[in-house]
Amino acid sequence: MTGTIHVENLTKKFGQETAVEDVSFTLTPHTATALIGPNGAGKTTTLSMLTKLLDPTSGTIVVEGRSDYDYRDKIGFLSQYPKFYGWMNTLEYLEMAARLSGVDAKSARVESEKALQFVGLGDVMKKKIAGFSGGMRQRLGLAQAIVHKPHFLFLDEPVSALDPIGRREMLNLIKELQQSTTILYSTHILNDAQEMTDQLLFMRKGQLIEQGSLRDIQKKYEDAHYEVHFTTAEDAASFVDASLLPARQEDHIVYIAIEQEQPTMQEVLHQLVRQQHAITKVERARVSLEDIFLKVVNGR
Amino acid sequence: MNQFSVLALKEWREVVRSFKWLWIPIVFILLGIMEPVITYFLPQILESAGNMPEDAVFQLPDMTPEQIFLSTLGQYQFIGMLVVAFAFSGLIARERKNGTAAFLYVRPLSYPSYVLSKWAVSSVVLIGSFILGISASAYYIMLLFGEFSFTNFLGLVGVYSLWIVLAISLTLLMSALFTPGIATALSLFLIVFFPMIDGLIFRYWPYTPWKLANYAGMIMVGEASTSDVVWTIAIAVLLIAVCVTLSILISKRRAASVTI
Amino acid sequence: MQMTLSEIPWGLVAPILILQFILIVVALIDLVRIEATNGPKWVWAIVIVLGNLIGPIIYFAVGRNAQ
Repeated sequence: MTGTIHVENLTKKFGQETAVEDVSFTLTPHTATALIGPNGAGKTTTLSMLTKLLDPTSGTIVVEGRSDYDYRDKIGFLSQYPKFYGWMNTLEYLEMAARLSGVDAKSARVESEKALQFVGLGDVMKKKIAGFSGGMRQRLGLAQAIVHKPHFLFLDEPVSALDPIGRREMLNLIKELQQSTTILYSTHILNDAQEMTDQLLFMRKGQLIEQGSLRDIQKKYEDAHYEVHFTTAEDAASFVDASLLPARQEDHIVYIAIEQEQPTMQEVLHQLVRQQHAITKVERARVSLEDIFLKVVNGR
Repeated sequence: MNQFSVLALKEWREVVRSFKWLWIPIVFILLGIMEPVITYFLPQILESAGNMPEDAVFQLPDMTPEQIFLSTLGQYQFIGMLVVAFAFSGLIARERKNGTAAFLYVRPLSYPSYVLSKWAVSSVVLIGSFILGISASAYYIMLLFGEFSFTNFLGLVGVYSLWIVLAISLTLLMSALFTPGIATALSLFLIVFFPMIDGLIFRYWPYTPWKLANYAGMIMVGEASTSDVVWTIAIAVLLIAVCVTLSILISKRRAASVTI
Repeated sequence: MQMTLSEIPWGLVAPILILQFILIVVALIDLVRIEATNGPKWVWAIVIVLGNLIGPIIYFAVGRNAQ
């Protein structure tokens, strides 16, 4: 049970507006789940209910086998734009975070130092937060979320606001944390999700419209095809006319649709060789998460 | 209690690092000693300003020590309360609006500790500042205007301290209820403006807690009716308890509106 | 009766001047250290220095409430 959350029929209404509607999913230990969706899809509202900032209108959240109890000492939360008391120094801030999450006074210092070392802020423990860069703030935000060794980590757009280096550092840290915690993070940057995901949850207009592992979803939405690059458009056109394949030409590129693994690559190559056109590239194109996202979100 | 000490340490650190521990006492001391000094030297100041007809005669009434205390309290009621409203109305509202409180609200936070830590630290700072200020004022008044009743002075300090705690409690409640701008505006209304018009609205009802500052002055002059004062104190204490309790409940309910 | 410098009771007035000076210095130190103010910093510097007693008070009460 440790590290497991079942979300069942979660709904949140603000007056007439339904922000989250009938959402159900399961988070299992040591996995990372990406919550994907456009702005206003209900991602932050969902995270707010999981962190108990908001009470659901209906539905239940079963944390480690129980519902309706204060499980907040078991969670860590990093908001999208974490804000800090600039007049505090890093260690003071983290010790306070630890104490308020139930870490006793004796261990708070040690745990804080460990968390700061982990996120790479070990050498600025006595520095005021006011002077920190965006990347340092995000890492401090992560430190306050993990200092009490939570079983669950909820991260709202953890890398969206960072530059490429900061993003890489954060992603590596989160990957490492996956060894010991159950992670749920929202994002709209699909490359990140592709890299670090055991489960995908697609949200649109408050509803969970697709969920599953990356591979399953890729398979489901795969719109696989071969892409053949000719040197001229004429060659491409004559290839399409001569072959009996389901091919479509666009300038000097020909797209050949794959259905139920037909035609095979061998067949395509065979035809290409027979017709003796000059070609520069042949490849099997896979659908990207980006394409899936657009399909799912636009309703297929 | 654990959370209270952690949160009170945080509030205290903020008081220290934002220089509140320094500037607020200085303001109360300055207001306290400027009043007697200016009043005492007013004739000389007016004369040295010149441009007066030769035969103009200044007949300033002789001021009693008690009257100077009253005008010092007047300064505290205006500038002192402005300081309270502006510097303390953001205590909850601002950290909710700017998002610094998000990391508190997602933890198993004890809201009584959260609110009481702010209330206690603010009360200590303001009562400390007031006592320093009024003592400095008393010293100057004694030097320049003569002796006064020490018992009455203690009465003034006690009753006005209670008013300060009430003012901070009202301000904290506004801060729990509203966004920073509205909280400041309503605090100004409740603790700066309302005491001025309380006498008009509740003319025949002597127990409104907004009369505390008046009673503090009347105790100094020795004209206060004991039963009126006692009843007003009782009602003020009750109102403080109500404000603090509501602040706890409301800051918990409104935690979800924190910027995240 | 014209008041001259020697007639001013400096023992009584000095604390006022010293405290005002401390208040201005503390406000300026805070202004330099703080991340952001409500409005441009140089305006607050002028308010603090020229505003007499009220200048630093306004700065502390209103100016530093940005964040």
